[in-house]
Amino acid sequence: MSVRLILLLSHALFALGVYGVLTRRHAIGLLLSIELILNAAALNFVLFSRAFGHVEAQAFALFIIALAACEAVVGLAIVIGLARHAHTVFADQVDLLKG
Amino acid sequence: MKQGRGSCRAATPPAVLGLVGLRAGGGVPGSASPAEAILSLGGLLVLLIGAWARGHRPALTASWLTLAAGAAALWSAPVPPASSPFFGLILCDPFSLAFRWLALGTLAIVLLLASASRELAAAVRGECYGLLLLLGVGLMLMAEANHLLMAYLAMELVSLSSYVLVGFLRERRSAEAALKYLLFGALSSGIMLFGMSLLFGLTGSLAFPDLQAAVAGTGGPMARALLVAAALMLAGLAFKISMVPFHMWTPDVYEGAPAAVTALLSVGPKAAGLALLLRLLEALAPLWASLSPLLLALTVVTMTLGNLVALVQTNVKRLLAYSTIGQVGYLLIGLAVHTRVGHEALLVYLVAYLFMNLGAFACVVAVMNGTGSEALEAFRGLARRAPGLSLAFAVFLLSLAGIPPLLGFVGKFLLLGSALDAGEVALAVAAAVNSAIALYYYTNIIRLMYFAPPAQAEPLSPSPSPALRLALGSCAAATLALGLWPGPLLELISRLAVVRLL
Repeated sequence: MSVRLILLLSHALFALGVYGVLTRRHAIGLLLSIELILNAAALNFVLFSRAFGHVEAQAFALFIIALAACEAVVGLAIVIGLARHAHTVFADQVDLLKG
Repeated sequence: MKQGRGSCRAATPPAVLGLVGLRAGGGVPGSASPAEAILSLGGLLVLLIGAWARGHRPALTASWLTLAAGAAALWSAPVPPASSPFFGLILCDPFSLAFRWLALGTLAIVLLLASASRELAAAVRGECYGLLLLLGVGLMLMAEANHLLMAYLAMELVSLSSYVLVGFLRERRSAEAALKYLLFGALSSGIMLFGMSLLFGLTGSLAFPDLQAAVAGTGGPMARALLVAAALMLAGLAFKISMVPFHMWTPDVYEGAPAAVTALLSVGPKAAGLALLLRLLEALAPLWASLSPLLLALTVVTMTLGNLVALVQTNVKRLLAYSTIGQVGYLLIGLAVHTRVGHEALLVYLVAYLFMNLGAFACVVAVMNGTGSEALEAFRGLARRAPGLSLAFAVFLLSLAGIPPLLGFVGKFLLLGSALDAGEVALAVAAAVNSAIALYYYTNIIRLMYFAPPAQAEPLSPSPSPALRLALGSCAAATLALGLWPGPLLELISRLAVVRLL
């Protein structure tokens, strides 16, 4: 596949992720959309590291995968906490704090 | 420095080991960061002790020992003018040394607050200390990062620990605040990461010094693409320091989080984020002409919005959140003027901000311990119920407002001076007008404490614990003493601020 095509794919992934964040209401749907954005960045790093023959960028992609997993762990823990204390997992029902 | 960078590409695996601190001090020429290694190992240990030991005392003792060992390591490590251990991933220079001490100081005071706060259940407090220490490591690494990978990892270390800390209370508001922080934070770090990947694609380099050289050599349509990548990346950092228009999370998160954690979030990540922003802007220096008008405008908008919205707040944590946004606006002056004088003023104001803001939060913790309330009404007539506490709070608020002879005045004076020095008269005028607006809501609290009749007449009970007294006393003493005799501080900082950031 050409560089151009993969770039198109990664940008489409990024746009999909941002669209998902703006439209989803379910907390887990929001986390999934954010995951798409992270993967778009990881794809970019892998693509460019191949293009430049740059090893460090591949390590960067691996770190992104690991950190995305950490973020999912913390995110799901927080969603469980929310379900316990607020009895909801919908972001638009999280409305106690405002002003 | 050159040597570290040269060997970087071939030797990625050892660099990866270096990240976790396993190789701290070993083999790499010029390596000088055992403090981070001590703090991260100690933080993990405290997490384990906190999970297994009964009560929070053992974990607290272990945290103080770790903090003392970290401070000793930082004190005894020789500081060469600039060295970049771990294959150029981090840069140890006097500038990052200043921010490492700021991070340690913040950590020490916040540890005092967390151990004295009655909000946090004793059963989970041990784990809270461990997370605080790990967050501190992230703050130090953020200020030292000299490579996009390190910048990202350090920011995520800070973010992930703070998401958990915000959700530490077992109640609805805390859980909601944690969710909001997580969603906004993860989105902004994703956007920043995408910006980094584009930046790498356009320049082919990840280390800041290489990046600067590559950016300087880019022209034509690529330069415009670079601006887009830089904007995406800076948006993520702007979120961390709650710069308008990425400030929306700040009041909600600050209100829902435990007061001790709010205190940390309002100082630690702001200082470290500003350090990283300063270095990143230096790496993108060839784009400065396009970025600086935007930065100047956002500086003015940030301080104005923070101060105006703070006027109508009735919850003290929310008020201090908007006050933080306003203060970040002042701090950004030092960055926006882009001169050595500006950097020095930024450092002085950060020291002042550390003492006065953490001191103000110590007062909030004391009042919350006594009354269980965080409404402004809880401060009504406080001067008759707790005279010492009220006096200390008045000192911190007046210092935040920038009244002489307190330390906040010295910092603000230098910031305004640096703006005038750089010919940015409009910026200085905006900051002065904002100080006048801010004076209203700061003095309003003092009016409530001293001139409004109290709802109850009996003294505040329990009166502040020894840990809280220590935090209040040291912050008040520093605010007063350094405000009256700023000479040694200014001299120290003029030696630490550097022109070359890369």
